[in-house]
Amino acid sequence: MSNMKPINILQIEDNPSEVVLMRAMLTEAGAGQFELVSVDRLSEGLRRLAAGNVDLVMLDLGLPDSNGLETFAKVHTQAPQLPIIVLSSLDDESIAMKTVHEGAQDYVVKGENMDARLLVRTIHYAIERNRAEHALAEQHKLLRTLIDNLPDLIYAKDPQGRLFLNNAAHMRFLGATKAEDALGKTVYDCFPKEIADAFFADEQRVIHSGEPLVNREEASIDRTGRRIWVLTTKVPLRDATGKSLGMVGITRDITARKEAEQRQTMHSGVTRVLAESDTLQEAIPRVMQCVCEAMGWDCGQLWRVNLQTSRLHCENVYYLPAQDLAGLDKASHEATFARGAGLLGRVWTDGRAALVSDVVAEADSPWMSAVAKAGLRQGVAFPVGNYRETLGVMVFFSCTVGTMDESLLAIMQDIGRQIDQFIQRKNAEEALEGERTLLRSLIDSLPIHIYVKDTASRFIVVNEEVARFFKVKHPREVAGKTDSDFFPPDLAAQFLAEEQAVLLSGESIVNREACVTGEQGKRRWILTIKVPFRDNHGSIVGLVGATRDITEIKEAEERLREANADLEKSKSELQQSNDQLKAAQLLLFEAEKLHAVGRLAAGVAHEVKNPLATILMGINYLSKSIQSKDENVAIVMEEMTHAIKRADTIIAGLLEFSTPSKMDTKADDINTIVTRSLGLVKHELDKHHIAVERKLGEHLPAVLVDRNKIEEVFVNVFTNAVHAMATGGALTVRTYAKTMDATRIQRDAGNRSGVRLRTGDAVVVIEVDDTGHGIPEDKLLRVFDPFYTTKPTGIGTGLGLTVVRKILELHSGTIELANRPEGGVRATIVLKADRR
Amino acid sequence: MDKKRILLVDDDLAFTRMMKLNLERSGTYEIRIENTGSQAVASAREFKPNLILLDVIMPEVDGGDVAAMLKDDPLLKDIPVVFLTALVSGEENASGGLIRSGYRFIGKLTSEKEMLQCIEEHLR
Repeated sequence: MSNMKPINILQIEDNPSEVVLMRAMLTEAGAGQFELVSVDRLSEGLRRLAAGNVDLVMLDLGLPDSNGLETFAKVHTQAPQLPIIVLSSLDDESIAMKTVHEGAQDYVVKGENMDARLLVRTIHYAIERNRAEHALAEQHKLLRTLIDNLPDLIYAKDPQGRLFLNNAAHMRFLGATKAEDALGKTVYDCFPKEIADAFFADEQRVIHSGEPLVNREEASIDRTGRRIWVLTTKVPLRDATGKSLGMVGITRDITARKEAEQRQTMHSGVTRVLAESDTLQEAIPRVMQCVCEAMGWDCGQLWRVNLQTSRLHCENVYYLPAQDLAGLDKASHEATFARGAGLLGRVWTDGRAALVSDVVAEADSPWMSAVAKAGLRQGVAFPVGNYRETLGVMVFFSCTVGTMDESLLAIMQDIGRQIDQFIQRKNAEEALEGERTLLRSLIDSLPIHIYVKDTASRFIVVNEEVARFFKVKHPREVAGKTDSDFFPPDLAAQFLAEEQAVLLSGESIVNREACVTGEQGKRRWILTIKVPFRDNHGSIVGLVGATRDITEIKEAEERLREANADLEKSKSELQQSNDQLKAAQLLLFEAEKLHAVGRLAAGVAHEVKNPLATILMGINYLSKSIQSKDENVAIVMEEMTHAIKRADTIIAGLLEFSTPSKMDTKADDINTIVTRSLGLVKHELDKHHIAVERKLGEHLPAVLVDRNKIEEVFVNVFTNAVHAMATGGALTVRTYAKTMDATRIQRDAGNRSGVRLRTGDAVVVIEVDDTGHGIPEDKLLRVFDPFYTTKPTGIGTGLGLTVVRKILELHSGTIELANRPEGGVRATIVLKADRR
Repeated sequence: MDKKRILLVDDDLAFTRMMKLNLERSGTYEIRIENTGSQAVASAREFKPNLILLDVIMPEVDGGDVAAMLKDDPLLKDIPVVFLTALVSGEENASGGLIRSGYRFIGKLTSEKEMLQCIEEHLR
């Protein structure tokens, strides 16, 4: 031990013999082990202590300047860390024992069996014990400082659940300032019974089972009744023998974290609910449920601004199932709030969320009183809307008191905005959906093939028309397919080539007409538009096409062209009819003129020629009767005869001009003429499906006629018959010869030609029968009048029969029309047979 | 030799008188004048002419009618009839006479020579 530092001992002793004895014993124990300094006064001792370099104090309590316990107290106070051995005499051992209690390491009774070895051991023990004690004290202080500075509640309880140790945080939690206020208390002294029961059960379970309870989150309330969240660990406490000493608990207040989590849960829950809901009606109850469940609140209500009343009306309510809030429900549905009135009115006006920290204290309306009466204690109200407009106010209440702070208000305000955005979004979606539906139904109802294709010409989207055309049930079935799935290979290849050209060049095909061979080889005309389809960056990602079947339009155009052609034809026919009419008119005029002049000439010839004949006869008679010597008489007679001849020549010239000699008459066969005439109207007969029956008599006498004119007569008569049978019928032509009887002869008193049908004349009769609609009896007499017609305008000129009759008159023939008893009309034409 | 009897039917009185004077002057013909068409057949039965000169154009019953009636009468149907007409021109006469419907037509303004020739041709 020689290498060890010597132990510096301060001996405070006023008895010099004791000092000597001490020095001797220490020297005996080992030179150099101890350095002893002795002082005989306390004051001197304290001074030495203050100077330091003292490892141990040996103190006599009875000193000249101090005595008893006071001496120890002064030294201990001066050097509390130093080990002190009290030197006591026999008579004050009890005091010495007290100093040990006060902090002295040991006491030695002077003169009592003290030897050097014992003293040295005592000194060493004192120093070691003192060091250990101080180390322990330091450690304890450290631990204490540690647990007192922890925010967690730390508490130890005995097997009966009584608190026997806790830290500062737990003291604060209990609201205790002194240890006595806290120690010995149980959970029943700190919590309402329901919570206390649960906690006590936990403690007892841990104590008796020895199983720790680690990190359990549990709801609790603080001493103000505010709800808190804690994380608790409870560990059994046992002594070395395994005997239960109780338990130690560590409880951390995680209310802030928990509330942050709750708010987070609520916020994201509301966001999710709004994202999942289709309608406001569906969303609102779910939002309120989500908020109540996440926050542990009991009641939610939505008050909407009613545009008619300009007041807030309660529209939706949500109550936690456990709550009986019938009274509040009634009050809520009876109440309305104007702008600025009460909590809700203020929130409406301000557009800012507001807290109700104490429902009872803030009850400013019957409604709020009902809220208080329902046991609700706290609430938060916030506007549903945006900075422009508040659509309503949402309010939540809770039976328990939780943290309601600015951050909660901010969150609720945001929820209000989210609901508003939801409403706006749904409105927009509804409008968009409406537009989409409209657009889709428009596209689907268009009689046009509309399709979108990708760059490989695969269909992406098509409309109903395309689906119908491809004979698939739904347009979806066309997606992913190509034209080659539906069209013949060559046609599909043609489409693909033109689409690739569009995709490569970016140039559209617009309104291109093409003819394709469709089903059953039918040719179809299609009108095509193909436009490149670009993404937001302008790259071509496909094409949009519209194809329209314009076959019917084309056919209609064709029909229109035909109709136009028909119209042109009709026009030219009309022109022709008009020309014919003019020609007929001219002919009639000519015929009339000829007729009039003929009658005039005949009349004049007759009336003038008779007197001339008489004069000629007279001259003839006189020239033979008068035998005169005068030569002049014969000359006069001769001159007169010449004059009469000259007048006759003039009259003959007039007759030449006016008689039917203008006609190119010759003997002809009537059957040949009839057959030729039928040939001329064959087209008309066929067109109207008219059957022709020829009953032509054999060996008929010839007729002296101008063939062209008589053919004109027949064509006219046949055409009239055709017009009477526009929808078909039968035309019968009959020819026969007969002799005129008296009853059938028409007289023309003004006729001086002397050429007319007479009784006994041999004639050829031509009867033309139709099966048409006949002619009204009252019209029969008028049909030969110029310009009279029973036909619609444009069909007949009204001159046909007039001309016919004139022509026949020129041939001394006749025509009669009569309705046949069996229906239809019979035209009877009579021509004189040629007797020459 | 008996004179040949000719019935002259014409409504023109002056013409018939002048015709009768001219034809009877030669002494070979006996002329009976009938100025009314409707009386022509009765006159013919009574007079029994060898030839009838018949005017075509007469009021009411004209020459054509008279000819037809004569044709229907068994006693008279064989009596030759020559129509007198103001409408036949000289040129027609010259070309051998106009025959229509089997009858000979002769113009009233025909010269005496031609007229007599025509009458002689048709007398029975």
